[in-house]
Amino acid sequence: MSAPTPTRAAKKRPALLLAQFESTADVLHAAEKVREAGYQKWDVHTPFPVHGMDKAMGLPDSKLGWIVATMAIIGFCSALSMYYFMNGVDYAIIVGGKPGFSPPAAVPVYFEVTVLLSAFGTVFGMFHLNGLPRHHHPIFESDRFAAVTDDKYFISIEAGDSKFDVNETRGFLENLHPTHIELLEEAVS
Amino acid sequence: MASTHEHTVSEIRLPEGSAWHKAWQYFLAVGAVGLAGSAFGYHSDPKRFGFAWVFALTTVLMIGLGSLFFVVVQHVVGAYWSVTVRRIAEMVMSGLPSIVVLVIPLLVVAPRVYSWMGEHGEHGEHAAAATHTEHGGTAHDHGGTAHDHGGAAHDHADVSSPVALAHAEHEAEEALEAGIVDGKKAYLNKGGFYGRAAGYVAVWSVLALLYMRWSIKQDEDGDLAHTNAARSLAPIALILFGLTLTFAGIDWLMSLDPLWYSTIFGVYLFAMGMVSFFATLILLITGLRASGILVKEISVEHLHDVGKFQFGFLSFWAYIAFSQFFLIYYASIPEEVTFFHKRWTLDPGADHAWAKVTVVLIALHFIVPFIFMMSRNIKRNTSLLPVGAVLLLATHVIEVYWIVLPNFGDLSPALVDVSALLACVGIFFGVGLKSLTVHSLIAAKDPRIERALSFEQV
Amino acid sequence: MGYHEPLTEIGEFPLVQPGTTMRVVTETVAGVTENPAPKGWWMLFAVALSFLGIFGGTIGYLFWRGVGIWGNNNPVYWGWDITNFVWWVGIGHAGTLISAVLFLFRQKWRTAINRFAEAMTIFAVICALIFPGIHVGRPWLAYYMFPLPNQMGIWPNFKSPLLWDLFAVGTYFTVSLLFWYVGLIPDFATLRDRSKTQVRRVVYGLLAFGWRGSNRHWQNYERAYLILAALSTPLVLSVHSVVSFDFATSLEPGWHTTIFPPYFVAGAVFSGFAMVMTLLLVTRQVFKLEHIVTMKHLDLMNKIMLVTGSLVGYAYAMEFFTAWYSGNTYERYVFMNRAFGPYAWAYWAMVSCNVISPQFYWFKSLRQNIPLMFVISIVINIGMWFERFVIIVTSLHRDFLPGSWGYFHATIFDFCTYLGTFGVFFTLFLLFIRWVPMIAIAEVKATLPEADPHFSAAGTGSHASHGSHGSHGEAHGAAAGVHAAAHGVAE
Repeated sequence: MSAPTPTRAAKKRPALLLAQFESTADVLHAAEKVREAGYQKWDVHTPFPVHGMDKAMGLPDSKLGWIVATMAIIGFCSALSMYYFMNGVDYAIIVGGKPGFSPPAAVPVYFEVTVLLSAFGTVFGMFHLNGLPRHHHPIFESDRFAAVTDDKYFISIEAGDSKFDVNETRGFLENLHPTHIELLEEAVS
Repeated sequence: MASTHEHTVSEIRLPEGSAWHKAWQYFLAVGAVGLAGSAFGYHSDPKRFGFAWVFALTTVLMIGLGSLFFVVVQHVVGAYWSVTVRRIAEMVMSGLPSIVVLVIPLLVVAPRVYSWMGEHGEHGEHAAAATHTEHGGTAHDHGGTAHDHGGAAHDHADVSSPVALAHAEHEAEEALEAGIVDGKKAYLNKGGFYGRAAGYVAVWSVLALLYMRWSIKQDEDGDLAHTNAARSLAPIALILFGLTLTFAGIDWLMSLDPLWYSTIFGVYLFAMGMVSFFATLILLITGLRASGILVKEISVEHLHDVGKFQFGFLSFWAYIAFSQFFLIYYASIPEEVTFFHKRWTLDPGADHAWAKVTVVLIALHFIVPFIFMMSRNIKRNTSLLPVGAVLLLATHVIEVYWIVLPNFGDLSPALVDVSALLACVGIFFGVGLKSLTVHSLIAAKDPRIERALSFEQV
Repeated sequence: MGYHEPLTEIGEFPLVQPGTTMRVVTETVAGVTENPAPKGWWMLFAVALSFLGIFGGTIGYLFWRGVGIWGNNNPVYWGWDITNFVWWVGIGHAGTLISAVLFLFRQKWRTAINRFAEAMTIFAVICALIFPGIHVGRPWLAYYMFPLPNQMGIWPNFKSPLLWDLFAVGTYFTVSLLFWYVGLIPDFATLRDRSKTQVRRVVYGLLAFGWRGSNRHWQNYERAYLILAALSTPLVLSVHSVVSFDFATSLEPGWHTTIFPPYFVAGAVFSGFAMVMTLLLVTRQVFKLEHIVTMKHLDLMNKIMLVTGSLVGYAYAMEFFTAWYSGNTYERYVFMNRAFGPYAWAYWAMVSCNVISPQFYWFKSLRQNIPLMFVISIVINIGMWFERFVIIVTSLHRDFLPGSWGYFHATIFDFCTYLGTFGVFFTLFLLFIRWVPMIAIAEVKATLPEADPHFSAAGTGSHASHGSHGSHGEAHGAAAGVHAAAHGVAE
């Protein structure tokens, strides 16, 4: 049932092995086995985040919170200093009997700028951590893989992994009872 | 027929010999000591005692009302994660009927504390004077009254003397204020005050008893009808809760200064109640867990959620408290700004003590706990989370003190404050924690308990 | 945690209609963007375009003649323009509330409606931003509002609530857009993977940013979603609070009252839900989404409207009570004048639409009556417009001195500007439901019973797939899934 190895071009090398599963339970248990086998460069692909998968894969906690916290501090300080410079130093306007720079009177601005920069940190930080956008990836060579955004589940083990061996890894994956396994290749540059 | 649900969870009782069996007795003992001190305080200075009692009563009342709201809301939304902590919240809530007793000293000393009651306050005397002029209810009309008084002063005093002029001005202002207070008579009157107080206390006690009863009954028979009854009453309970909290706040706290008003005050008290309740809940849970009780049933996952609520309501409280401050500060209208002026006067020669308390509140009730409790790791840490809770409870006490006592005068902490606080806290928790010893510590037959026990953060 | 059978005895319910599988969700939602548009869509689009035409014409004339074509006068210097601004911003609150606040409270039913409501938020905020933009009179100088160096050598006044508005609404728009887009990425990937034409493949492919459903990505993605929700929750509170500061920081009786921030937020949520309801009822009918947006979703939304409507009622009552309790002559006058003065019709329209009409929702049969909820949702939208009108116009029209009393008469251009923004809103909205997945595919899938690894009904697992592997969309796998889902719920 394994797919024929594509042999279109000579200058190709294995990129990853892709195994297909049909249910969240199957893919979750398979993922536990892959982790136990000691692979490092591997991944699970699902149409939606599967509950408990991070634990099954043994992923460390996301670092995103630190990026956001840094951006929040930058946002707060920049709003405060913007107000201080513009209304306190460069062009002091006395309004409502309050001095040019009266800290409580511009709290909404501090808040909004803090949130704005934190949100930028969240979204662009997430893209950065995920290495996205990346439109070209060997995994997209698979026709079956289109179903990952519908109702199928996949495990991929990359050729870059130190434990990777085309035959051995394929044998290992077969023991996990996937419904399908294929080898995907990439051009050698 | 009564529908039931398959049960796999068994009740949890306090283990034999646990110190928690005696917790309620310790609390009652503390309450008794506090009562003795309060009685002495009442004897030596009834007015000062009155302010101390308003402060102490409000402090525990907010915690109790927070627990009532929490329990009712869990029924409205049908939450399942909270079922394991709900019984502990209900135990705090079951202290609410003690307010029936705790409110009595307030009712006794009210005429000395609330100047508008017209017995021992300046406003009262002038209000009485102003009534003689038989003017209608508006402040505008009473501007006229003030004029008359000014005129009266004019007749008696030497115009050229600045002292006399200042005196006349002062008198005119007082008369004006008395007129305004007099215009509120339709609401601020003795009969209304006592009648409403009876109503508030009745509503709180009945709701607390009902919700506790349904929960306990379900422990016995596992009947789902109790869940449905609790849910059906919940919307009405919330409406009653909102109205009683708001108007009790106006009667007991806002009218300490009968000239001052703020539409957001009820929401502010609500936020305060939720913050102090969650702090109490965290302390109780972590305390029980520290003695090896409920360690499995109330897991870190549940604690994390309680911590999130604590943080969320802390932010909400900050939002509401800041909105109230900000709008009053920004517009700076004399009749409103008095509230913050009393608590933030930096005039040379004035006593700056209240301003220092304000700074302490901003720093320790908001900035420090906000930053401290933001992290997910703190909320999941059973020894650090209660540190934040202790801080928030301590600053809750300071905050209520800061709301009540500036109406008495300069900052002057006294033994009677401590006595009153001990009395109220002791009696309230003495009554509430008695239920620890008689009931199961989790609602074992709640239909959602299994899900609650296996709950994990996503 | 994970999937748990709903306990119907205590009022719980399945989130989607039993029998809805992953495949059904994908097909239903993606199908809307792939199949030819139904006739109803074209009809609505034609109407929307004609309103957009009205908008273009009115704005052109406005720029030519100036804001004098509106009914604004002295003392009513804010009229329909700011009323419309606040109304649209308010509507724009439900989206973020549904996405962020209900997400934090783990209200999973939100997945059926969040995408839809977020889109509505973004378009409503665009409509809102138009008004301050054109109200300034010389919109080509609108950049003076930004803290940028300009030829006048002056900086904006940071103590001005109008500047806070710029920051608040601008931030809200940007963050809502980001939140919406982050949610869309996996769904754009679904459309990319299903695309039959090269154009669709390229466009949706670019929009999907190369998403490949990687769990390492999902981990950061979910954290990002959580953080965005946590940021958006105070943000959504702050935006309408800042809008309320436009009024409440002033000395104007009827405007200066401390309850304004939470009161405006409750009102915004109220009107936003009403608008979501109006649009949802139509869309659900036109695109046949009854099995995903179930009666239970509508019922829950109606309950939220009952709650927020009652909160708004509480605020009205507190305002009135405190105006009396304050003892301030002017405060008392403003409120008496609202209820019994020349604008009494607007005041009582507001009270009946906003406080009385949602009270029908105490009864379950009425909460589940579609024609009634359609009518009430529109009535609430009207009522919330009147609320802003009452606040703005009745407070202004009688100034402190009777010498500066007046009355506001709307002109034909006030009507046309307002109607025109409906053109902007509905044009954008109809384009959205035609080309973008209007229901969050990935999020709905995550709430299905079969999404839970511990859900072990026979039929979903490997033996169902033996027959179906190799090509998607086969009846076998789907039928097995239907069986499993039905099984899970019936147990």
